[in-house]
Amino acid sequence: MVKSPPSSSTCRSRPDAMSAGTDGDGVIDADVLMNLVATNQATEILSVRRSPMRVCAVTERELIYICDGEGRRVSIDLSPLFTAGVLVRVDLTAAETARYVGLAAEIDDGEAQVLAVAAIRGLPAATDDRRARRCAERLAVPIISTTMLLRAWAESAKPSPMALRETLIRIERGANHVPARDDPSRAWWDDHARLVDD
Amino acid sequence: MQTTPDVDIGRRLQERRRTRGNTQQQVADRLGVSRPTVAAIEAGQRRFTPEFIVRLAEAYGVSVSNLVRSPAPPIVELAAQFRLPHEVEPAERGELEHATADLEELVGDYLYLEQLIGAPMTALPSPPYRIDPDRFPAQAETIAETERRRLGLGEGPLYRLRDLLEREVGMRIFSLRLPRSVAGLFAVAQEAGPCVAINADHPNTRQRWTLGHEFGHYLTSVLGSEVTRLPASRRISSEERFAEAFAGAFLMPRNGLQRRLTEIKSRGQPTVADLLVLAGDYEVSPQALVLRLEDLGLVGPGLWDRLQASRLDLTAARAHLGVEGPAPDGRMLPARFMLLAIEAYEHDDLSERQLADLLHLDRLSVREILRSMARAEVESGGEVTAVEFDLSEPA
Repeated sequence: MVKSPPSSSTCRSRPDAMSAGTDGDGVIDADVLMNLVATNQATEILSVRRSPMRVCAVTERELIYICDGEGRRVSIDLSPLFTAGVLVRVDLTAAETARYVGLAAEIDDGEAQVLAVAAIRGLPAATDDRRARRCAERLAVPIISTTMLLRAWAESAKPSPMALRETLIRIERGANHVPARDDPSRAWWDDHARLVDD
Repeated sequence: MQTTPDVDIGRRLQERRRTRGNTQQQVADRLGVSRPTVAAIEAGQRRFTPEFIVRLAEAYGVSVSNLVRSPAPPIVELAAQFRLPHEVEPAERGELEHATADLEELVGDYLYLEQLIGAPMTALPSPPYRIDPDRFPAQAETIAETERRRLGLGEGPLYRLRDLLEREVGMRIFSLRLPRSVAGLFAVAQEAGPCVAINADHPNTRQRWTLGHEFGHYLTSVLGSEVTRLPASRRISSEERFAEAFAGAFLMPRNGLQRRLTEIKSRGQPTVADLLVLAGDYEVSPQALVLRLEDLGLVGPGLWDRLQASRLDLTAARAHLGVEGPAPDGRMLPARFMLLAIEAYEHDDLSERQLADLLHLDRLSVREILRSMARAEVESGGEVTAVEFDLSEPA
């Protein structure tokens, strides 16, 4: 049975960084997935969650490259993440397809599929895209960001400061991503990515 | 669930199919429907369910977002305007058809961005000139001088010609992969004004000549299109002759050139090196410069033929003198197009993926651009804030 999208009266409050990062189901967008792949530890980071993240067909198709340590482009291979069971493919139901086509009027196909599945199934969506997040807020879809997932992993796995720094730098260099200025975890990111060797 | 019939989606699908050279039957086969059904879909006479819109997008090779986007990108009918020259080789014909389709799509995207930002192109209206074949080539000379005056360009070399024509004249100029024998595409569309594609693989000097040539066309045509071939066709029309003469006069104005040559002659007999440096200054090829000097009677006739016969290695000489000129302009999109797209992204009118699609780049490249162009940030007391630029007049 297909769940109805949550109405504003049933809108969940925005989860805090820790619980959103470790809670179960979710639908992940290409921008967040690309950041995680750039860490070389996507399996470990996503393993902190209790359930696998769902991936839509368009998301999978649009993930093409990240940069390696030498600045060369390397193709993204998601198969280890599917094999490890931290990602699962999702097929859209008729209701989700209808929602997807409606959302595609304002956002791109990948983001529209993610939000359609998240809205209809009542799941959080993992995306950093401002426009997609604005859309998600209107749909009362809880949002997970790259930084939420990383903080949850850092709390759980407790990597050394240097290992955490390395992970963040890999995202900056490999996926050309730093959190937006208004990201609540931007200060956390800056503190850990800019550690100076003693 | 049924949605209302959408004439706009139908038109968009039809345009997409035509520009990609597909038949209705081919699309019908992909969709598993009859050809008349496809005709009805394109005519906006069918209702679309969401599932069918997804199937349509797949069959026509376009994203769902492109079909249903709101506000809808304007449909610009440019590709159909081009009459491909008979002498184009069959192998190049397909390439040319793709290029005209690409130009049409890019111009549509450009208008869409202007619509999103609310910033339509504002440019100086060009006075229309009428070509008088009895007044060749003096008329081209006069119009080039008038245009230089109108645009406030003086009589010296023109730098950043592409940016200048975009900014001051309102031409929409793209750098595209065109067949080797094609220097440029020119068309004027009702909604978009003058639109140009230059050959991304041609040398910069040739690209500049093409821009001058296409500007000449624009000044003498209200609506129309042209495929500029290389070398010019043997049966050259009066419009082509005008555009060629105009390009030379616009890039190398008589008075400025005369003054430079007088300076050179005051030091002694001009040498090949002098000519190469002069060509470098004007960012034209040595051939274009010497033929222009011949036309103006500033050097004796036949100089270019003699230079060619002398077997001088002009390429090596230019390299030794360091006057090879800039690299080909491979920027597919106009600078203003890029700025509008980034502004739309900054205003949350576009997502990262939509920005990538409009710029014809992958996400990684778009992020590189965004990071390099990101507003400057300062950190103070743990707060990261943007540096604000105050462009108001000082008190």
